[in-house]
Amino acid sequence: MAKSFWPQSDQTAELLVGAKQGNDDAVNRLLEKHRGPVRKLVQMRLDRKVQQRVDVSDVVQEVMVEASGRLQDYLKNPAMAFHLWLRQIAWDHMIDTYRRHRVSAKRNMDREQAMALPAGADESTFELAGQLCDPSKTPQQIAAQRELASHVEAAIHQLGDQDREIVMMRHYEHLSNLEIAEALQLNPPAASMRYLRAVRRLRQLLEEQSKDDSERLEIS
Amino acid sequence: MKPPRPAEFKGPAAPARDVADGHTADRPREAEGNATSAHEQRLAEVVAEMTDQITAGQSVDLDAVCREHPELASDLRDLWGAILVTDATGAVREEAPKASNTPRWRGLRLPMVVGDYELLEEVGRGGMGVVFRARQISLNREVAVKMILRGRLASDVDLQRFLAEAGATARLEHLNIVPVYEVGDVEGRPFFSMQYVRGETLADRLIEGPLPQRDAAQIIATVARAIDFAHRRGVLHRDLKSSNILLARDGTPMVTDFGLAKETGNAESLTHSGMLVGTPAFMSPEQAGGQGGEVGPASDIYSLGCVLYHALTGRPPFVADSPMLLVLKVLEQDPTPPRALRPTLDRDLEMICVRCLQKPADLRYASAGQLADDLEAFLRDERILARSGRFTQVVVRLFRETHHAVVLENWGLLWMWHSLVLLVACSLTWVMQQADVTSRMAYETLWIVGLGAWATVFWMLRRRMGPVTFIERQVAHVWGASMLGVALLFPLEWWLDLPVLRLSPMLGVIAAMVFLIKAAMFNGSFYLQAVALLGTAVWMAADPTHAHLGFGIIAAICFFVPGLRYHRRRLRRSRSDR
Repeated sequence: MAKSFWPQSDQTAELLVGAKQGNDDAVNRLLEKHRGPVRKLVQMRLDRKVQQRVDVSDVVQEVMVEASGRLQDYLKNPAMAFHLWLRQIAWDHMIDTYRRHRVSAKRNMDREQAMALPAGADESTFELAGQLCDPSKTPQQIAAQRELASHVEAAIHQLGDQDREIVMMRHYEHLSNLEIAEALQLNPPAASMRYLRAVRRLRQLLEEQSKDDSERLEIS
Repeated sequence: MKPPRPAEFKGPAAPARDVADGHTADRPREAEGNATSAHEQRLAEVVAEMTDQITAGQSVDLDAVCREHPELASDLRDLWGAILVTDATGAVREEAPKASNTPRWRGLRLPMVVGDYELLEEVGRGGMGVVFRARQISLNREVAVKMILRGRLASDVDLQRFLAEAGATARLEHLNIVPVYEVGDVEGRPFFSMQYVRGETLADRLIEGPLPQRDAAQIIATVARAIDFAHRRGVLHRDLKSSNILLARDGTPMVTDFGLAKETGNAESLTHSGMLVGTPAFMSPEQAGGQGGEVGPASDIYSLGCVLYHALTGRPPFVADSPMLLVLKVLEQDPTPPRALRPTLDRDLEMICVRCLQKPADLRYASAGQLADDLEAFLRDERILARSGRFTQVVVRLFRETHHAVVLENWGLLWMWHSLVLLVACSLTWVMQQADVTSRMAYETLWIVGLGAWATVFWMLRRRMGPVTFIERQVAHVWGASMLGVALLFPLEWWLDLPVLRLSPMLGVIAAMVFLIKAAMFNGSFYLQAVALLGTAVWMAADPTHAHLGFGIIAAICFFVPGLRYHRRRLRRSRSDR
């Protein structure tokens, strides 16, 4: 299963060359090709509560407009890969949007209910992984998968900001260690170290969760 | 089972840049002990590598990695499950159905007052927005209010244009067009109010199955008249489909959503498929592909044909799994003839339908009025217009351009150069022949090395002009095949003990084959070239002394004329783009 989040890089490279030569069509196609991923990124990473207040499309539009405005500067001096550059712009916009709407968003957050965890999930993480990866899925399996996924997401949610950030970049945006290093302005060993720590904590949380669940089972 | 809750990640609460400073904080811990830190760093790198592999969609053999790094094995085994689970979660999340695009209208508590309107209930939801049954307070009448999603209109300029356009359509007064009462915006969100029609849409009706053919003809004839009325006032519908045709309780069809599907930048309408344009199933080729074709009245006629097809067969002309595939079908395939789906269908009605669904706009009815005339003629059992054009249409279709012909605009100038190269090569061959050169090597060098070098240059020049399309690759292969054929003529002559240049008439045959294929791919007029070159081949056999010169001239003309035409078209286009 290919899980590329961003468009194919050779084609992007070709379009970048075209854009540099002043080919407007290439510029349009380049940005158009990335619109979907940017949208996905915003949907995935922009705070849910904030998303109820702003239209994702509006944020995406702002990002694309800024990207097209700054594209020539970027082409003159491409400090990082194109998709990381675009991601950075999107990220800045999400931060702005979050700051603008944070106050009203917080108000609602307090009323949020605790996430209901599915009971009976005391399998080892290995078994969980097996179930999640199984390619042949019946509707029941898909439902089970989603339940397990929400389990893991709950654990990710409990991580600290820094850990959550790197885990999501890794597994939701499918960025490689090098790309993450570039995006976070770290050197690659430091990025890999940060990821290692995040995964350790995540593993611990998952373990605690399943222990809690099994205790709950014993009590009931 | 409930779907996964949208994860309540706090989002970018910790901005990347702030985080970036964090790694300095990592340092002191790394300094705790060199041995452990070296081990940790090694582990981190191996984990990063493995994770890179799975995020790239490859599988990882944990046991193999553990054997390779025995000192890390226990740590790796400890962590790997958590990594796999997390990665699978990310993948599941991607597959999960996307949250609705209309969060703001989702939780609307009804009834609710917006401006002059009291929204009573949601009656429909489409790509453009949400429709409510409402009461206009000042006039105390029942209306339908359509709220347009802001995201569909990218900028304020778009919004202004939309309002202006919707205002123009509001002036259309016709019995079979749902009247628009008011266009405006509440809090920057455009909406319009229109007559509330009790009844159902044609699409709803068709869920139960196709209509009796005369009923279908009657409905489309009425709709076509209404569309013709609008066209004569300069208003296009642009998004005609079964769900935009309302059937009132008394059976009167009424067209709604006039001119609302804005001019859709085509690539964009694909990526936003299902939003801006609903489904491309009713879209004309010029709207779907947008190469060269102008969206005009003929586009609405095409869509009317789709609606007729839908009404007669119970399914739209094209059905595909994804909008992208659907668009390709709309561009490239002919629909299944309606009578194949419904054998009892009247032949004339089928012909009317097929006439509307012609891909080239000029082969369709000249106006919606003509379509209505023909449908009414059918209803009166009179002779229809669509039948007359049958044979000439087939011929015209055979000889016209395909939608791939745009590609040739990239090639025009190169073809002109190519004609010159061919002429030079052939003239040289002719001169050498006149001078009684009999060395096979001499000719072979000229044709293989000379033409091979030119082919390389040709291809490089083409590459420099931008990405090479799929269709161009196909042409390149055809050309490559023809080069192979030409190059093999010389060894074959030698093998068969034939005098040099005896097989030259094959040059004509090979060139004719290339044009035959190109005729199918690009432009039916290339059949002429194919015939001319075949004739040349025969003549070359009859008159070997002048064969090469003649072939050179004919072949050069065959390339030069279309080359010039497409080059000019390219110049015209780039001028008009500017």
